[in-house]
Amino acid sequence: MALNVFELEQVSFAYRGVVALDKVSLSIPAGQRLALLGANGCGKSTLLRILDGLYFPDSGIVKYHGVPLTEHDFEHDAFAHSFRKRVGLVFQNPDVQLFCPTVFDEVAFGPLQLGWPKDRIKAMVAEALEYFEIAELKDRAPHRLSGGEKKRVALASVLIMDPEVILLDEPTAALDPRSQRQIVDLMKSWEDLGKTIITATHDLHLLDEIAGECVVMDKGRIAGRGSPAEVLADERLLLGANLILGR
Amino acid sequence: MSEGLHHLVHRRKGFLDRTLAELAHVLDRSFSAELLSTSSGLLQGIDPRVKLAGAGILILTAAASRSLWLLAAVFVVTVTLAFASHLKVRELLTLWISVLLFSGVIALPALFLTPGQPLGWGVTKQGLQAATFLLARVLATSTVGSVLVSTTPWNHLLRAMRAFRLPVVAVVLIGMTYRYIFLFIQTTMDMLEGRQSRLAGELPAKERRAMALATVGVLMSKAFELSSDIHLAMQSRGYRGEVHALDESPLRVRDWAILSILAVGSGVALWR
Repeated sequence: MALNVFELEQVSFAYRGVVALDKVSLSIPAGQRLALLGANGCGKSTLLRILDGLYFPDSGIVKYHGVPLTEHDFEHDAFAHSFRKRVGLVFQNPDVQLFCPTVFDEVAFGPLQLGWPKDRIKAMVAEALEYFEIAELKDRAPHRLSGGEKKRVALASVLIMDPEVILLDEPTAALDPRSQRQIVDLMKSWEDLGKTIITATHDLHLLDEIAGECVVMDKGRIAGRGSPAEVLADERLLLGANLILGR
Repeated sequence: MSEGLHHLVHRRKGFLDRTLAELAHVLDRSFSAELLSTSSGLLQGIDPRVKLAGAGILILTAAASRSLWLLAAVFVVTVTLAFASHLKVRELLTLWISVLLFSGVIALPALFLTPGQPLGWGVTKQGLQAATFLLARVLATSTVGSVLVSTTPWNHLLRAMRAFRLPVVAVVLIGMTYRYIFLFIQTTMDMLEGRQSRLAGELPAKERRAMALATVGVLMSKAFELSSDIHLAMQSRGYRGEVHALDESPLRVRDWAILSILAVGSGVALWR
């Protein structure tokens, strides 16, 4: 049986009194491809940020590989570097994530902050740019790119660190069908690498391709869990979570 | 100016609308500037570090010069390089007119207030010399700066700054500011378009002002939210309060040769 990468016990979080997560308990085994399903504002993005150690719960416990994750842990360089290398988050809005003057600098940013040797970084960036088919964009300013190109650069900037856990916040949102297909194909290609992939989405039609397990969220709580086929067959669950329209 | 932008500038009234239309014009101009800076002109093919250092040498030469001939030489060399790099005369003329008008206002009192040999109408010879020097210096140095910026993509210029040991954090901040200015201009344009699409006819001035204030408020709120998210995105990729950057590759022999010629030439010209 696979060990859990993350375990959440009764986790609650609120933004200035507005509840985003309400007593969420969840286990995520290593190597699982998990989809967090839910309508806008149901707490998916907040949950991803908690898993990435960017937010910390108001109450409850988050465990990473069985050890509670606290704000205090991130004050130590060794732990922070190790965690940031092993867990990567791709934000929903690529404009948030692309803050460097060129695509090359953007992809190199993470490894540089983690103190990797500079010669190795240059070679790895070149490799990542080739892998994501953005090598010809390396000297371009990120704000001049199309939505699909920005998304690929954002993915490259996180995947270059080869994290064992990849957190994706609405990776196909606001993309044209071709760019969506490219991103989904990329995600499918990671299937054999044994990585844990947690994707927040409300694109039900992509579930079969991007997830082996689904968690449905509603108003900051977990409303249901199952395989994509089970979740998609549960009309009442999807209706309750505002993911489909009633007839 | 594109047709849509032209329409925007001339259709809308009111201070905020005009300002926003001008912002759109900035976007349009920055796009043209980016195209020019990546075209195949003489200066576009030179390493940005050499251009930055070369511009520094020319500006220092102009600032230290006590000869109008030397200032004229700096100006002529720069303009020749500009034309060899496909800069438009119109762009340079716009720069020169604004520089002359602005500096002219500052230089004007010197004509009358500097003591010396009278030339008539209260103007002194020394005053005329001081004003001419000031205008010539400003004209030469602003032309050098403008040619540098016009022929170098902004991101290359930032890299060049890093090569001259400017603090990495300062260079990163300048780069991020530049990058997000465009995002906010675009966001502002979208908000304005959204507002216009739901309006029929002109609003009273009081309501227009209230709406303008609300727009500014929303934009500020978005800016705070974005800055917080950017910080999280940086943290997520290992940022711990200190920015690290890649080193630049060493300059080529040709680059050193250009810089040496420029430095020696300027030194000799100043010494004579």
